[in-house]
Amino acid sequence: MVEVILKNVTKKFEEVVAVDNVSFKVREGEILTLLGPSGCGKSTTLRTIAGFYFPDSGKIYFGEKDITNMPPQKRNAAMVFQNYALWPHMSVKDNVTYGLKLRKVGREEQHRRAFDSLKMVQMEKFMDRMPLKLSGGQQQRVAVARCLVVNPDVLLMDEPLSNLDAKLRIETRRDIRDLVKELDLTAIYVTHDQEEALSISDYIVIMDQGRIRQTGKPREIWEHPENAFVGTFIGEANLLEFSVKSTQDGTGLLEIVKTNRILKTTFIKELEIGKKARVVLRPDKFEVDITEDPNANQLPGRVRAIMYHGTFERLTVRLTDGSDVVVYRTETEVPIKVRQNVYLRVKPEHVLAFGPTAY
Amino acid sequence: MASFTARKYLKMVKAEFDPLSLFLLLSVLAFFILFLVIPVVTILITAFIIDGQFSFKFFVDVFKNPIYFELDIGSFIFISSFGLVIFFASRLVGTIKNKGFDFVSLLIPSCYTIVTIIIVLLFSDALTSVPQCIFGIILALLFLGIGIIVNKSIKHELDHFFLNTALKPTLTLLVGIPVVTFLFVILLAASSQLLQIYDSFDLELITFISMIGAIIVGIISSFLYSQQFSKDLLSSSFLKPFFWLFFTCIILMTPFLFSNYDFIVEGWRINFFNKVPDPQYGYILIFAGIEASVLVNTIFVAIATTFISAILGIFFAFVIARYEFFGKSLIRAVLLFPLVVPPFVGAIGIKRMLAHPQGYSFFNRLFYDAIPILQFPIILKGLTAVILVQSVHFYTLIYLNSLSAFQNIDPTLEESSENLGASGSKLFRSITFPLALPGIAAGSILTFILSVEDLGTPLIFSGDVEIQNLLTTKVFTLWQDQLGTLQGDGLALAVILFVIAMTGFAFIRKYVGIREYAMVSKGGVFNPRTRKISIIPTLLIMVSVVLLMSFALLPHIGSFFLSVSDNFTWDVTNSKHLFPTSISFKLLSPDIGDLIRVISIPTLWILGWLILYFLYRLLKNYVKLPDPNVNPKTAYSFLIIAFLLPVVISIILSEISRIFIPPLEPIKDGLNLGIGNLTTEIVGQIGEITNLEFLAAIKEVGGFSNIISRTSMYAFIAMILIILLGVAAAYILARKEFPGKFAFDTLVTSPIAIPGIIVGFGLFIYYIPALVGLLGREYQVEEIIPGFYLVHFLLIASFTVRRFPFTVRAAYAGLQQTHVTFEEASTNLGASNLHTILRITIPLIAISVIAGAMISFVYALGEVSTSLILLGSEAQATIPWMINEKNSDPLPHEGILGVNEAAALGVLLILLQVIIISIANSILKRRGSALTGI
Repeated sequence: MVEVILKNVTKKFEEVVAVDNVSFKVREGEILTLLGPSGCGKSTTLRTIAGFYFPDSGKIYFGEKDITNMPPQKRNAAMVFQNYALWPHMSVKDNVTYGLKLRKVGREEQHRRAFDSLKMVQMEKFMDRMPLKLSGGQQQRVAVARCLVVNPDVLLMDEPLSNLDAKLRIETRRDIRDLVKELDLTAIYVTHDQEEALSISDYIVIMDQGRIRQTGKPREIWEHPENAFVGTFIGEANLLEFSVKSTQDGTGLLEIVKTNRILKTTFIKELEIGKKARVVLRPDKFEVDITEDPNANQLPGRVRAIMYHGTFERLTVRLTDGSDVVVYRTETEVPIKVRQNVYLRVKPEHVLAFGPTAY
Repeated sequence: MASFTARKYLKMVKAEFDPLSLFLLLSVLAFFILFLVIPVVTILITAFIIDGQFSFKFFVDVFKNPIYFELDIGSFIFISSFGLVIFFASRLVGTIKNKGFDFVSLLIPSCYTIVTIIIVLLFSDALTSVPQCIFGIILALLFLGIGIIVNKSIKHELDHFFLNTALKPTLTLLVGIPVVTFLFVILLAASSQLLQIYDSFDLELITFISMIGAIIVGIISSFLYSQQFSKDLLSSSFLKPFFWLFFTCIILMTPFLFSNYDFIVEGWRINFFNKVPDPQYGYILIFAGIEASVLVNTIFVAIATTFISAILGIFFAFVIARYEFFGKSLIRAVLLFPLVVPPFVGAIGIKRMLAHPQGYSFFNRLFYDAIPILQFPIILKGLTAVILVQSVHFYTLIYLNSLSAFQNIDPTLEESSENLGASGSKLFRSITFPLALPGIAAGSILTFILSVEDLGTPLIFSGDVEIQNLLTTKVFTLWQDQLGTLQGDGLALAVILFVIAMTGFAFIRKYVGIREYAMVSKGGVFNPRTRKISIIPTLLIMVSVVLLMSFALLPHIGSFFLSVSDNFTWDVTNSKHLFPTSISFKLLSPDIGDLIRVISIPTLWILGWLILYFLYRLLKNYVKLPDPNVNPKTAYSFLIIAFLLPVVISIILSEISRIFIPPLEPIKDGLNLGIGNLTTEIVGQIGEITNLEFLAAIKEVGGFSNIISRTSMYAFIAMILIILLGVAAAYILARKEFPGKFAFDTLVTSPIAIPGIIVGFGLFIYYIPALVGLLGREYQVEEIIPGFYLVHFLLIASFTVRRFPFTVRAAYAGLQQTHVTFEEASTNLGASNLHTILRITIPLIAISVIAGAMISFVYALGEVSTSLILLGSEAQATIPWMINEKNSDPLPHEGILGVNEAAALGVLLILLQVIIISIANSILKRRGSALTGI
């Protein structure tokens, strides 16, 4: 169990910059998730930590130790692969003891440790099976056991759940988190699934186009996105373009383009007066009013479609400037019809406004 | 700048390569540079150097010498149409590959036709001198240039215009132009005969009529390129007129087949059907093909072989790929049989079956004597015989490649076409054929190359003068005449041979790189479309397949007969039998000691293979096989058929001939069908030693068992080297990215195309002096260790180099199917690179490597050209060398003719190869095209 530190790591493939000046720190015993859309460089970052790629510049430390140019064999950073990479010509037991044999562990000890680590993932009954005879979920567990058995300094996981079905994924991610916490491991987890990231991590690094867009705890990321990209990437969100009328330490007035509607906000990032701003509005933060209230923070619009989702109604509302907004409406006592004019009320703290430098 | 680039390059290499893979790369490179690049380059360079001066003299000599090359009208038309075919083929494949259409291919053919017409019209009389030829070529290039410029300037419109209809005119021309050119030459000959203008027939006339042909083609093609015509004319029935024309011509020409007709245009003797008077029969009809200069002959043979092979191969492949019918697995197995038999073994057989030099062939005995259908005996000789032998062997290359191609077409592509309303031939032409074309093209080009570089087949027929006029035989004869050196003409011809083969290889590289091969082989994810068919189509298919197949198996049946009977030879007095009447099964009950001696070594190899194979079968459950649908049944049926069929056929035929066919009176003097007077013959044979003594023959010579074990041993050593270096090369190719990878890839796969005689010459010329200098003069003739001569060292090197691509292909495919994360997971847990390769990579790809190595081994056993060039005496001989030696030995030894011994050795070779190939094939299964090395 060590701390992992990346300092200004850059990795290019020919002319394409896959990882661009990335720095972060994983504290001992923490789970850090690299989150981002596909092609954002998160897997490359992970593979750089594992030693399959060497960075073009920057440094990687495990604790005090500089491992930037250390070959992968010596890093003791066990990795769970997306396709599990269980060797099909070896039994489950041989797969798990492979790392122990390399570490010259005695036969008895090998067996005991393999059994223990397989027991942790409830796979001890399958020791003599061949990997291809196991289901996807079982293979995934064996792959985790194969990593745990060597007492790695760092556990690396590259989208380990993406080949499982939805229900199993939720179960397994809970199991993984429990296991990692129980063993007090430092873990780095890669996923493109924001829900998975929010639930499994202590810390999230959001990446896009090779660069880090935000680093923070799950709640911070959710509630205080630093830029429009993070705001829209996490959860369903409406992205609108307003122009900025005025700003004033921490609050601001926004004007919908081409209309005279003014929206108040208390969440502003680098707004400039007179310039455009991107505004992120989460669908569950709206109240739907039927009447206009000049003092409230309202956006007028007309309902275009209503979809029933059980716990809420999903409204698509066209605003006066022509843009569409998605609204989740949980209180449905007052019925609303399609083509009805409505006023969407939103609290100033839920209007997330980003200036041009915080796109 | 240079140092900067070098440093950058070094940095890249350093980043990509760990010490181990760098070592692997360097060792492969070192081997190839030592044993391929240096020898071949030496030959190429020597051909340009006279007295230390750079010179083209050798080439000028070759092109001035009418034996090698003569630019007469016939050759000119022929070469023109050949160029056109190559051009169209490449454009066509390129078109399909790029999914778009390169418009340049539209006007260039028209220009080409026009240029040909103009050149022939204007310069036909004068084209025999070099400066005028050069002028003509410059003119042609000028026209091409104009065509390209015109096209470039209106590219956009043209592109838009022809995008959808371009494929078909190209196809039409591909088929149409050579057919038409060919037709007109033949038509001309026929009409001259018909109109009794034989004497007055002159150059102007042939030019004129050829022109009309070419003009018609030009007009048709230009019509095809205009929109209104392309829409109507290019619908399904367009090709029909060509075929009608062709068949009409054949019908018109039939009378001439039986008239004496020999017709010469400036050295271009067109005597496909040459009826010559014969004192014994009255007349004999000789099929000899053309007789022109060396270069034209060579290209003619290659084109004809490719054409016939393509027809056979595509037909079989389509039937096998698309239909389900009774007996399919059987047919599948038999179809592969010719692949494993070296053509020159088959040549021995076909010579007796169809091409007996005096007309005493099986075919004539059957259809002239026994069942008198023919008016005259027919003799196949010259280029026709070579074409026939090569075609019935090399069709397997096209068959396997097309089969893979057909089977790897995603069925949804065809289904969506059907869904939109296409069916039958429309479906085949618009979807299936274009998608399969890269595979077909690759197989065809390979056939072309192998036909050009084939030395064994022409050597078997080397009694005919036309065959001495082929590139390989010419070079080989010059080599022998000059006592093991190569000078002047020989060098220049070798270089020309090399250039022809490498041009073909460049085409293959362009269309089927090693990467795409792997892509093609990933076909396991869907079930190929096969259709169950009802009884009548099944019968039709069976009949046609069986007919074609029995034609394709003629050489092998012939070889088998020859190997089991000494009264089935081309010795005149012994050739009177229709079937071998004295089959000896001493083969099955020989002296135990001999048997053990003769077959022990090969048996050990085979046993070794079988043990390895079954070990892997055992592991199969959890080893990820290259193809999960491995079906050993085919392999076994193949094996059984391959061994038993010829035996059964010969027994049955002999028995039938004894029982059912009544004795025939001699029809002509001195001829007896051989199935008459059986009793006396059998009685007679008991007294004499006329039985075939297959093993006895081997025993007499004494050295055969040594030869067999020597060949297998050297092939085996080569195979071990191939495995070591091949896995290394495949690993580098599959797992590393570095600048120069394409060149490396090309280098390790090029031996498939480099003619064997050139590798042989190169090794001999370069290394013998060096090694003799190093070891001492006496080793030039003496053994180094008992049984091992200096040349054997080079022989093993040549085996290794020449058969390398087969293993690399197989290993590469294995690596492609093994995800790289398996290896990463291992290094991640702390394993060194070497440990990872040994414990993870090699076990996972072992089965592919073994299959590939088996193929390499088998082909090394049958390696003709380097054996013939490197080896000098019986004490050094390999099986192919001995077969050639025995075959050219006219004198009988202890009552057994050399040809029978040659055939016996040939059958032994087949025996070894069939077993190994059938195992390899059952492993590779759907990736059967790996057997062809591309």
